[in-house]
Amino acid sequence: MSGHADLLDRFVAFSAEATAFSAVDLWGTGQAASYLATVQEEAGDQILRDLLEAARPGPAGDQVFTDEKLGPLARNIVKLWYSGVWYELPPQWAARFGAPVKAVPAQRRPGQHGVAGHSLPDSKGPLEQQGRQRTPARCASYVVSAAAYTEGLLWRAIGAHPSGAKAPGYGSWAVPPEIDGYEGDHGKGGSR
Amino acid sequence: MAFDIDSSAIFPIGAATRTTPQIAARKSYDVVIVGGGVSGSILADQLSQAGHSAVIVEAGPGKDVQLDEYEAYLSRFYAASVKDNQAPYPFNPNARMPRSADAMPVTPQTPDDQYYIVQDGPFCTDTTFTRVLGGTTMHWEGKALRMLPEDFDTASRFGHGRDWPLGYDDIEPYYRQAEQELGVSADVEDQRYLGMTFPPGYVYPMRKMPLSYLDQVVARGVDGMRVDLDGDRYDLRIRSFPQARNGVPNPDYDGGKGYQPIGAISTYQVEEGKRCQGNNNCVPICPVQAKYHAGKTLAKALRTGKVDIVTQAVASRVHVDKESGRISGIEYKRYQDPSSPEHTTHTVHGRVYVLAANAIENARLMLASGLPSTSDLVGRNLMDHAYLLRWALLPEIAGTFRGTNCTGGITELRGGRFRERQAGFAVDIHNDGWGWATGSPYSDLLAIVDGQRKHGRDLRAALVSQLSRQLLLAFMIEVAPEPANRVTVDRRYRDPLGNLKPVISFRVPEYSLAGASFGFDLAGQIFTRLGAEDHTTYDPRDYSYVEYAGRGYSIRGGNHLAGTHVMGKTRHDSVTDPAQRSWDHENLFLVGGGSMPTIGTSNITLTLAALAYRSASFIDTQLRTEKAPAVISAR
Repeated sequence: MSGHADLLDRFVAFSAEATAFSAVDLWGTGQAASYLATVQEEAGDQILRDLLEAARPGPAGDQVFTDEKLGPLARNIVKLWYSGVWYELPPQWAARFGAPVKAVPAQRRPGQHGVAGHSLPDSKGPLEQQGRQRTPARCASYVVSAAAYTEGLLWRAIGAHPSGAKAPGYGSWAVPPEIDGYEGDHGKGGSR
Repeated sequence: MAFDIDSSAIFPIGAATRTTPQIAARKSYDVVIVGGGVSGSILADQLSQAGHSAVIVEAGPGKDVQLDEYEAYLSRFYAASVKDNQAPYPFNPNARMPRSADAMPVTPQTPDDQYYIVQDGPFCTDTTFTRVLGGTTMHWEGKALRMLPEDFDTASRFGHGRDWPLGYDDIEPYYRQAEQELGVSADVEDQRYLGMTFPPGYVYPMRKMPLSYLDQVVARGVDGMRVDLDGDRYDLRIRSFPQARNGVPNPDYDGGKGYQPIGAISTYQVEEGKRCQGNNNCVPICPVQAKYHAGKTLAKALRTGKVDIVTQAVASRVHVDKESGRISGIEYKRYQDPSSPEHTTHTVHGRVYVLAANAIENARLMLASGLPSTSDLVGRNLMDHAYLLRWALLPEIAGTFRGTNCTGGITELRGGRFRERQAGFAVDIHNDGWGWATGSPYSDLLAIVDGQRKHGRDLRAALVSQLSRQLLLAFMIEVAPEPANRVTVDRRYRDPLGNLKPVISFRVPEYSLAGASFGFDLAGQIFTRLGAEDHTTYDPRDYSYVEYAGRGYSIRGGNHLAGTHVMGKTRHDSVTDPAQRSWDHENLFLVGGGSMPTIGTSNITLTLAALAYRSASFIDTQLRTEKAPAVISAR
């Protein structure tokens, strides 16, 4: 049985593999402890330990991302680091694998598109009325904290910044993006 | 009153709270203003500088405008799970704000008559406005286009819309005044098209914002593209938009005096916001206040010491003296706590009354007060720009998701003879990618992680490929006034304070849909020239889905609300005169987008700000010349 500090280290090590951002980058966000606590609260401690046990570096460890039991949790951890959002785990999964069962509000209605911003379920009812930022039992998916949003890796991955934070400066938008570590087929900015 | 340029961002301590409803009720003001947004703030500023006293009745909450309060808006935005254009602003049932996700049909049988705007159809608009101190300029994007000269007489010229009682040349000096107050960044050389003129030597306060790298990539395909339409030839090019956002001051401004940008507002000196930092978050909130908001003008007005504000005060009734037709008071409901409907009712009195609460709220208040006007046009001719979105993936990395929300686009097709058949439009290139259409970048993250099961390096490469190549073209399409498009009230629909809610009946005119159809095809041609892969889909289940000439489109609202108290030449065919003065009530001014007979292809704020400056001079004159004492009710 490992202690909490050890668990946090293992969580960050797994997260570094899963996100392709270095452990230094992840520690630098200041979010590691908060994310670990979120995962433990939302999914449970045992399944997290199972995941960290199964996820060994290398191709074999990659299987956790497609695993029926561990996959949804592994993928949620990736999304958490990239966006700062804890996404609701599938209710069937939660029921089957013993995660805490929560009252989940129904989706509002079909055909809802084009909400400026993004496509998470709406949370403006009781959540905002009470002025609470985090009420898991009431809100299926939520932003873990204001800081979690601004530390999302998503924007760093594309050479940008979260909208509304970490602004790059006047006129920076006029030159090609600098995308660290991008080895795709389009080169580093500019035209082919 | 002159003030030190260094203190121009200072909000006077206690100014927002020094007046109580009881104190305000005992006074007789020169001017009573409903609404603390851009129009109300400009009028309060201009009239108080001219020596008149004023009170602003504001529905939303408001203490002194402080940096920490503004930053609380920002934190709320960061933590909000739906980052729409109202996300930063607190939920307040007593002055409820429409939200874009609220667009759904509401009938008396609808169990959840839960939203603020009651949609009577057939089209469901997702239009919004913001009910906090500063109004919708808190969330606006900041585009500051002038209207074209041909926009002022479209009925005579093209057989669509209504003619203004004013022309471009009448408004041009006020455009310059508005450009100074709002702090517009643009180059005159870029804006001299389709007949727009500027006095010799005029420069905008600040130089144009640089085009984004994305704009430059798109320009490689668009610049030089030729469109022939109804005998007119257009050579398209990507052009920068004028923006009410602090950029590099132009030293030639004001005859060589230059321009001092106004940054963040607070009761203490804040060194922030004097230049845009590229936060890519103009909507719903500029983190540093480099974007203009009405709080900047309001602070100036309050520094005169002649302006009072009562906040958390929702105007509920306009009182009229039956004999004279003059307004005798504005009744409002004041709540202490946004989460409780408990309130007290008060009335404020003045010599002149100004409704400056936006086109929907001005009409709602007039109709709730039983004042449809001689012309029966209060609430009618509701307009908002119709937005058509089309989106694609470019063949190369274009650095999407950087810059201000929008820096450039296509403006040639705003005007021309084709407007006899179809609406004009301006085209925005969205630096924030497909977000408005699809929920990017979150929707892409989910698709790649959960759908494609990618993680690690593959995930990072997929994100770059999927996000940094996004191109979204937004066609902002002219909507002409139609009397049947309207705001009404219905006694079955009330807010928690008991105020009647706005009921909206709207259909997108065929004229606009003809423009949308042309825009859809033009976007396709642009995508082909760029080698971009089209990803546009419209969902027929969408409440804002419309069919036209065999194709379906989702039409979005622009939140550019106008037309509900049009100005004109006589009391029989308009609600206000060219000064925005009510034909029926000589001491009542209805100001804002509601007075605009048409909206052309300009975001309305610059024009309604110019109209507010113009009205200020008429109100000043009226206050100085009018001998009649204020009518004070016995209450």
